[in-house]
Amino acid sequence: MEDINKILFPHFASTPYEKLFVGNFVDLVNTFNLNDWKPTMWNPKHIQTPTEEFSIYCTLGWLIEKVEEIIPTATHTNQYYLTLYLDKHLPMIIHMEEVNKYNNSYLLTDYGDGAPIKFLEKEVFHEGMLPDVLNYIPNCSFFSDNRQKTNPVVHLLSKALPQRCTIRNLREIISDYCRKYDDIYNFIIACMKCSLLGLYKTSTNRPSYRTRIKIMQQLDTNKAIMLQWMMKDHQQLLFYIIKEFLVFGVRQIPSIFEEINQRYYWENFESCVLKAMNMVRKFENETKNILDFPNVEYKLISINKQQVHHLYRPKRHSFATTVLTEIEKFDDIKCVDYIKKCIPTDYIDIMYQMAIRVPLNIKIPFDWLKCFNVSSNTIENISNIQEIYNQEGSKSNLKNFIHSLNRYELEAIRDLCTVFQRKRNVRIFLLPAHIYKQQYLAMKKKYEIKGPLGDIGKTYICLHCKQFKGFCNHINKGKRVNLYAYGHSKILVEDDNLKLYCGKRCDKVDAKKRHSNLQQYSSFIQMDDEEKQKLAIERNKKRNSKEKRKDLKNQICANTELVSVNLIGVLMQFYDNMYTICPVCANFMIFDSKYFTENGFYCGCCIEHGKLYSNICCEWCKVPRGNETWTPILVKENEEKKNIYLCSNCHKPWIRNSDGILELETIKRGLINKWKRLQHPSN
Amino acid sequence: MYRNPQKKQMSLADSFSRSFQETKSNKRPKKKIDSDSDSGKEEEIKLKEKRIKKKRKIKSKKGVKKPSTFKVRHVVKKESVDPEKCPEILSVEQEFNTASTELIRAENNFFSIRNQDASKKDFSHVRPYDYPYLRHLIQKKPQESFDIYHLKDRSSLRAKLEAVSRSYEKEFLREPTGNERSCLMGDKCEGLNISQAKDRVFTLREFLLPSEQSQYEKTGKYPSEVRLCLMCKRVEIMRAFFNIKADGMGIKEDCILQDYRNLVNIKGEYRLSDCIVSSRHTYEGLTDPIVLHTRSVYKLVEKNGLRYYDQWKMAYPVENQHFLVDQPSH
Repeated sequence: MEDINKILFPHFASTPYEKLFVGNFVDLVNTFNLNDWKPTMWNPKHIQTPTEEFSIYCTLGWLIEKVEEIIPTATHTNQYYLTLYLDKHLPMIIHMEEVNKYNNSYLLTDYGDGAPIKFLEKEVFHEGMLPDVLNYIPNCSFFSDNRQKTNPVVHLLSKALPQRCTIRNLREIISDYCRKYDDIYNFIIACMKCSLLGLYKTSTNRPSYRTRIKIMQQLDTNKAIMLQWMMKDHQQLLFYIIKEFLVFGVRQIPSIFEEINQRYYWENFESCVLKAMNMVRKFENETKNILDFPNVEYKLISINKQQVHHLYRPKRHSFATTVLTEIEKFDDIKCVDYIKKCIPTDYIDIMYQMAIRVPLNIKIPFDWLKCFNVSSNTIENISNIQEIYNQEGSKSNLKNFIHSLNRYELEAIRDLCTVFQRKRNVRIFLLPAHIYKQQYLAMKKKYEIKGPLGDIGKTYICLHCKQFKGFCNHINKGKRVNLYAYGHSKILVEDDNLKLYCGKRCDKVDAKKRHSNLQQYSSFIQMDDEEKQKLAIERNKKRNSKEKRKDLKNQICANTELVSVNLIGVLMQFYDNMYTICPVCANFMIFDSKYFTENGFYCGCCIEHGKLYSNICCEWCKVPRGNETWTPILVKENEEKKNIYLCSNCHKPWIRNSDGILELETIKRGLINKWKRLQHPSN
Repeated sequence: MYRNPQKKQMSLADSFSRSFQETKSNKRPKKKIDSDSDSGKEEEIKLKEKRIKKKRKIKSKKGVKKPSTFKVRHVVKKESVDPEKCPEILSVEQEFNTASTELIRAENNFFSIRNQDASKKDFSHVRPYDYPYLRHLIQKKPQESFDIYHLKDRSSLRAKLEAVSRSYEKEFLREPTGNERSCLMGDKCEGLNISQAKDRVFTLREFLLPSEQSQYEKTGKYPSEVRLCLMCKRVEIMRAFFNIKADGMGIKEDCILQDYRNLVNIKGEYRLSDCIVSSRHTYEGLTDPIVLHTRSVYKLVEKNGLRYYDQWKMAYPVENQHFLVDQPSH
């Protein structure tokens, strides 16, 4: 922040307030005419006549009076800087009131920790001093609910979005995060400071200096008190404080702002939040404790209700997925023990052939179903339901509609939805040239090929069970998996024609723990044995039918020919994952947008301490590491630190147990001479 | 049903020769059989004649004689058809409403199905009047990115992304000097929106990719089209990126939004948390990280009399870079 005096001076030059901004506070005290002071100004000492001993005290009183006088008539921007100017002097005032000492000699005496006058040098808090979490804003669930679940900042900011039902148990969530992470607590307190003191440039109502002092005093109390305050009835206020930060943050990222401004009623949202917080900042019905905020919750709830029509409903799932889920539920309820009964099995292939020829659209063309003998009435109904779902996100009519369908039509709708779900989720994209080159080279290196690659890089997918058949590198419980894997998993080979089929086997339905009504725990449940038996029979029936459906699915899988895909130079989006070949180790990988080298992305598993896993070998005997886990050893070579690996044979106890960092030369000498313990370098 | 084609050919040849023989025999003059009263044939002929006479007698009823009439010749009215008298001939209608559209379609479909290649799939389940629509769809060229059965051509043109270092970018976060050109956006340049600079904001110089810069250094010529500045370029890419996210569709065509990439988590470069890449679930047009443009990260500094924007809030990568999570994920 620049010197506030320098910012304000040009605006008040040649006015009676000019001297407020000339020089610093010391200059102001030195030039201050004590005759200008009046006892009606800030005067907790209740002095009647000003004296030189109280010159700082009197200057502060006069300064506050004058600034409060200018603020209402100043421009919007100047009001912000005048508030900061005022805030700059408030820590001094707070301190003086706390110790109840106001004379110059006290203020200018250093008692060990510096003179109290140093409070004036404290940096004034403003919107630019909020913790820097703006880079998390793009990860919030603006358009869909696939936000990062582990990041508390993203979670809290996503809660503040103008969407339905976001508040819920916000109070508990904030409180939990604040207890767990100090940084989240500091973030929330900083947001509270900015909101309650009106330190955002956009704020129009700002509390008076007296109220500001009280707020500052309260917010600087210890964490336990603030956590208690959070758990009281202030959920709506906290909700709006985070909203105000979000409004401020989004304005800092123009690309997001421009996009959400078109899709959300963002400007409406901004003005509503501003209006609400300006109302809070009026501090009407002030009580002894400034943070009590009487009636504020009710007022904020009523503001929320007015905004109901402007809420955005992000689409959590595509319509195809929603329909498929509902049909699966329907089959469960009806204990259906078959997959397809009425519709011929090849219709789905014809539908897919049609689907790959039309551009991807948010709407599924249900009118195609008329070609498959589905009644026009059904087509019209499902199209209407789709329209409502896409516009409002509501699927209320879908369940009843599915229950009203005959089996043929239900299967036809399911097939079309499956096709469009596949169309949406199975796609191939070209990778940029630099990645392709690296993939090509890595492949050649891995398979030791001199000429062109041919079919290498090919893998298989099953479009029925949605399984990727290649082995992907990944980290499982800290262990790198599949680094040395070749081939494909769960594939059946037809002996006659060498065609490949999916060999996936669904596991049996888990015997989940059912609610068994033990007498000692559930005596309140009034149920006779007959009823219990009936329920058990029904449950068994459901389970058996589900089991049967799974078996049938396995059979279909075994009859589904696998689709081959060559992943060199392409990125395949396949049901919620993106597959390609690692440009470093040439294994299959899932694109994670986490691991990058200077040459682009990689799988995140194949490089350890800057070394390719296949190049890691024992520094002494040169045996390759293979699948073993070796921990790198920090050594010194020519005064430079570096990591080496030793195999389990060469990693002798005297190396393992040494306290300091060993010289590489010492290790080598010890291994030649077959040391049993670490010896002095002179040996 | 399977039939032996040879047999079929034989039977056809037989039938042709038979019919040829028949026509020949019809054309041949009939032989006159000399009457012989005693012969059975003569008797038969007489009987036939009698029957015919009887039939005639039954058909012609007595007393129902029709009045004789003159034969009148009807002359059909004629008119010339020209555009003046019949302007409708000039109008061209794409579809004529005939009463029997369904019939025509059904016939068309019937013959289309008959004429189709037997190796193709059976569409007998399709109602005849829907067939043309289906055929139209299936004969269309498949959409490239969706047809998993047809893989991409590996030799097709690919995006060339140039790696751009932080120190290289620094030199483009300043005002233009000499013959350097300003940002294409002019007075809408993002450089003018940096609030920290207050009234000292400025329009940035155009951002040249390293290849363009080296070309300029060799030839002294800038690209013919003025480029965006670094900030505006970041904004444009991010805008497209968020647009794709908002549509929830993934990227429509096979395209990459970026033409350069930033280096991350390398000494002296950017942190990955300050950048943006495609989500791990959907391809959104970014394969490599690009710095997220945030107005509050820049600070005005002056070097050698030139105004620069310093990316002071973008920290350099260090171990354990953030208090919450190590890496961002989407």
